[in-house]
Amino acid sequence: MRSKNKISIIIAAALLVFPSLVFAAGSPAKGESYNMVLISLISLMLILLFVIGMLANTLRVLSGVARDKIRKDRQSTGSNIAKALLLVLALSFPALGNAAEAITKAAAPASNYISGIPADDYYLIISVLLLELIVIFALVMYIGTMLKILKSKPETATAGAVAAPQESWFWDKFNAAATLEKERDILMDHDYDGIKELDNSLPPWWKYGFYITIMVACVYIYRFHISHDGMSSKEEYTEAMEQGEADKAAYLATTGNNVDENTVKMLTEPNEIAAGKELFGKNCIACHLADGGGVVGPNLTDEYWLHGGSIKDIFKTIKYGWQEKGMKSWKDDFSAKQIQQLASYVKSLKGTHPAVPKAAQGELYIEAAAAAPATDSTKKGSDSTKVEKSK
Amino acid sequence: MSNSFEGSMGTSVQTDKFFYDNKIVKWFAYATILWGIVGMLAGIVAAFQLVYPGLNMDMAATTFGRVRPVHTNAVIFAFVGNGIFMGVYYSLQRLCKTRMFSDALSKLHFWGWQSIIVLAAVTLLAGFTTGKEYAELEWPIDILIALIWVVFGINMFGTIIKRRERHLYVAIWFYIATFVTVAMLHIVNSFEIPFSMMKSYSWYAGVQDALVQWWYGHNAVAFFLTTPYLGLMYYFIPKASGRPVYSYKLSVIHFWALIFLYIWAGPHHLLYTALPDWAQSLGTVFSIMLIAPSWGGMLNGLLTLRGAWDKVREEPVLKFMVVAVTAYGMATFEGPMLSLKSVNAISHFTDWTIAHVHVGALGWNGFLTFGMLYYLIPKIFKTKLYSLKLANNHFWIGTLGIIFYVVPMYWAGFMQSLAWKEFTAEGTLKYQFLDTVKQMQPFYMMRGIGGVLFLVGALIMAYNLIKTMQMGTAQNEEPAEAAPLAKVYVPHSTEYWHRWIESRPIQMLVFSLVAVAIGGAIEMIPTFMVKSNIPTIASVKPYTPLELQGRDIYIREGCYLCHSQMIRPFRSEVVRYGEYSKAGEFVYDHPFQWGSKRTGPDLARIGGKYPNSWHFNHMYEPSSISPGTIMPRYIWLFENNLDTAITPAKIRAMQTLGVPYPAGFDQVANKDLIIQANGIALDLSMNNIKIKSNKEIIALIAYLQRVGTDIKLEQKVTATAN
Repeated sequence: MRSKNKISIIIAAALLVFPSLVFAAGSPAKGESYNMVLISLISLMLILLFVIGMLANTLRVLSGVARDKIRKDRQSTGSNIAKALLLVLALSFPALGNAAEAITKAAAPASNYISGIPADDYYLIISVLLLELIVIFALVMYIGTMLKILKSKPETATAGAVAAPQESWFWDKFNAAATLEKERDILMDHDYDGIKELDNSLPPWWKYGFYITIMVACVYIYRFHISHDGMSSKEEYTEAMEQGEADKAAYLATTGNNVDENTVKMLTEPNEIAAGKELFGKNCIACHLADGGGVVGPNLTDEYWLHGGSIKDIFKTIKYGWQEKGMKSWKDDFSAKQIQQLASYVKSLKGTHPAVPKAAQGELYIEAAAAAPATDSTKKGSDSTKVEKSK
Repeated sequence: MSNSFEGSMGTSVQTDKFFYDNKIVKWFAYATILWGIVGMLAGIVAAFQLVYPGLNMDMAATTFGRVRPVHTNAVIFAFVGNGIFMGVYYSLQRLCKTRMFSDALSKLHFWGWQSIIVLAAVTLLAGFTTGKEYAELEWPIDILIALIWVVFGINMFGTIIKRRERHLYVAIWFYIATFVTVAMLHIVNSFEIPFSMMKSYSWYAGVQDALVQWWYGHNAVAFFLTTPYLGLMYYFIPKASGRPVYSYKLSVIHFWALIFLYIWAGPHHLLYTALPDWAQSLGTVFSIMLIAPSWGGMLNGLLTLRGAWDKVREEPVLKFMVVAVTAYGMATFEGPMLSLKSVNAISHFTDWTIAHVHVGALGWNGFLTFGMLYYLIPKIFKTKLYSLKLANNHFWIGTLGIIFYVVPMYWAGFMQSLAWKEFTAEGTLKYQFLDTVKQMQPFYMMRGIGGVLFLVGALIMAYNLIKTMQMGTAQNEEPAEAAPLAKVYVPHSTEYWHRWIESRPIQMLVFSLVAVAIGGAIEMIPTFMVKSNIPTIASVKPYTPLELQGRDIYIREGCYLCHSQMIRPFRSEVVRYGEYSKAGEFVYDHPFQWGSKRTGPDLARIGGKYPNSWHFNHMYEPSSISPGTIMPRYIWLFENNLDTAITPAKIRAMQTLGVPYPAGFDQVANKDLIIQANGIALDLSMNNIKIKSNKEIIALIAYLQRVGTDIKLEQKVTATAN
């Protein structure tokens, strides 16, 4: 019972670290997507690990009983089995480590993906899962054998009687605790309202664990503040920004998707306009209303424009925004393609009849005649946006 | 062998006869149960407001920003606070073999603390808040808290001084450390300058205020929710199980290590912020080193139960305590993990933190309190627990409640954080903030249900305990006897060195104070003294009077409870919100408003992002601008007139704190205020919005349009210069 509890503590602790493992893996600053398949696989891995823990514990308790029953043999089966089990558990931990590493790698670009996970890592995770299943199978077999041993000797006690002291041999050793029988020897002459105190020594794993955390602390301070091997927050930031730009450039180089305000053309295909409409519905209606009639922002359905009505002007307005007038820059929210779709949709609104149109603002813009002035306004605008951008 | 052994053996020894005061314990127990239920109820209301924002009923006092501090203050200081006093008043008398020092002080302490709680609830709902989490109470109440805390201290030390037990048991070491540290934390963090009967500004500004606040905030967890409860665990687990404490040595080592190391760890609440890197690193490494000392307490608790696990199966008291100690172990392992920068980058500002604290609050504090109550009430009423079955039901419902609460919150926090950070291949953010808020809804719902389950458990307990009380009669005066302390004490040579201090409570107090003072001093003094820690920025100017008024409304409405003002240097945050926050930007922020949770988006660069009309509409009906938002309406801001009579006092208070308003500015401040307010009202009227310029909303808009713009201005200037 007691050790069962402790095992559950350890497992609980392991579960708590799990998100950190995944994270160590994910390096989200790099912008790698988090993948439901990956998360499910990892969760499954941990659940199986938990099952292994439970089975192992059951087996350990059973083996304790069995050991007592066949003690005459002098060949302490129980302890052997427990040792074997510990070995198996120990083996599965590196497996977990591998898995973590696998996800780490998942963050790196690879050519072959399966369900969004690099192929190598996918196979690695699957093999860890298989390994876990094998372990579970083996444990179930062991438990079956153990039950058989117990059943074959009807005079032996049932598992219920396991709460006896001998059950605790492992934890006693692990904690360097005096056994319950020897407790009297270390009972101190303290008595507070009937509370006595034992003079057990510090559990060694605890003590050395404490030393290790102190060493980790020293190494940490050394790395980040003396040798500067560890990156400061600002260095991490610079690197993430550079990486982000590089990734973006690399991606755009491989697609024909890098339109900008100088090359943008009006889209006319219905599906492109529909895509623009969908974006508009999700992001723009707070200020421009669903029918484009305008409320906080200007009316988009009339022929008057504050910042130019050409496709290039509208593209630019959406991309960089007019901060001082309350139009935010959307370049970090939408791709160039999406801005193109949006701008095309906005232009397509011309001449529609919104329910409550806002009064016209800005200058009259007429498509054919405005070809020359439009370029002008683009130029003028891009100067001011440069100032904005250069931060 | 032991004292009591001597007492019972040597009948010739003259013993003193006296009475333990159970009445005060009983009162504190009633208060614990009552405030526990109230605090949990407030939590449930707040939880469901995040699903149904309409639950604020369009009233200021019932809005999340005011309900949430009521919940946190009620569960920490009312529920756990009374739980501490209940357990301490019960155990201290018995561990010292004496009655409490003074019945009058006990009563003063009890009624003083209850009036603080009532005052706290009323003032928080009325909007009087300092804007510093878990230290929201305003200056008159702060003073009252300090006084009552001293009353508690005198009563405790008086009892210890007149004890009939030579040595102090480990539980009392924890009580002493709790007393001195909480006093230190409360006094230092509450330094503030009053400008009216109920309002004040924090003495510290910006980065320094943040450091002091989280030194306090973290150690409120350590020394209000942890050390006293460890002390109580050391009394109640051995008593309820009848087992000796596992290891005296472990008690000694983990006690000193814990109180010394804990105090340093505050900056782990400020990782990746504008706090200097060296201070952040100290927060991280001391958190790592805290694992073992924290687990020392858990081990000593659990290993004390060796050989008594059969009792745990039967006895609800022990069941609750085992889960409590286990939850403590989990939370104190998770805490250091969350202090690692890489993990914190994900967990911070999300519901992950909320899950983490609730493992501690519901599991450790809640369950240990329940265990104590199930132990104490039958003892005091000299009867048996009314129903073991109900207690067992409480145990299972409570456990289920914890699971229902924390699992969705872990999942939600992790998911939301990753969504915030996700980019598309084209280098744009994949999700709008609002998208991620909408995804939270089912999780918030489940969390609310978890909270309800936990409360149902507590109500079952209340019923069970009331029935128990009805079955017995309270023994308010419990007779006891003990031999008086011998004048001379000859320690035997084989004693542990630590026994020396255990018979010297004053030295214990002084040494504890030294141990807990070091960490804070080493972190704070350089942050205050060394200029390079907070590089100044020339373009950062004090707030205008209208903005200052608006900022006070921002604080009053508890905006900081859902919105941070701290952009961390991450690509995802800079792209989403703007340039990351710099230490020099906050030098006039008394108090700082960095926040600790992003239920809504960060506001550090909200200034100038949207037009005034956007803010106007958004504050009036948030869902008209952001469909699906969970932000409540703030319609009273459109009705209340701004209190301009207080403006000069506010300016003078700021001047006292070193904010460089020109001399005599307090007299002309309102003129300045009216001009700015009229400007905003005019701008709104051009957008077809009619509002008088003397309404509170105008001030709030002025503040929001200012936040984070000083540094933008500077960059624009340099950019043009180039």
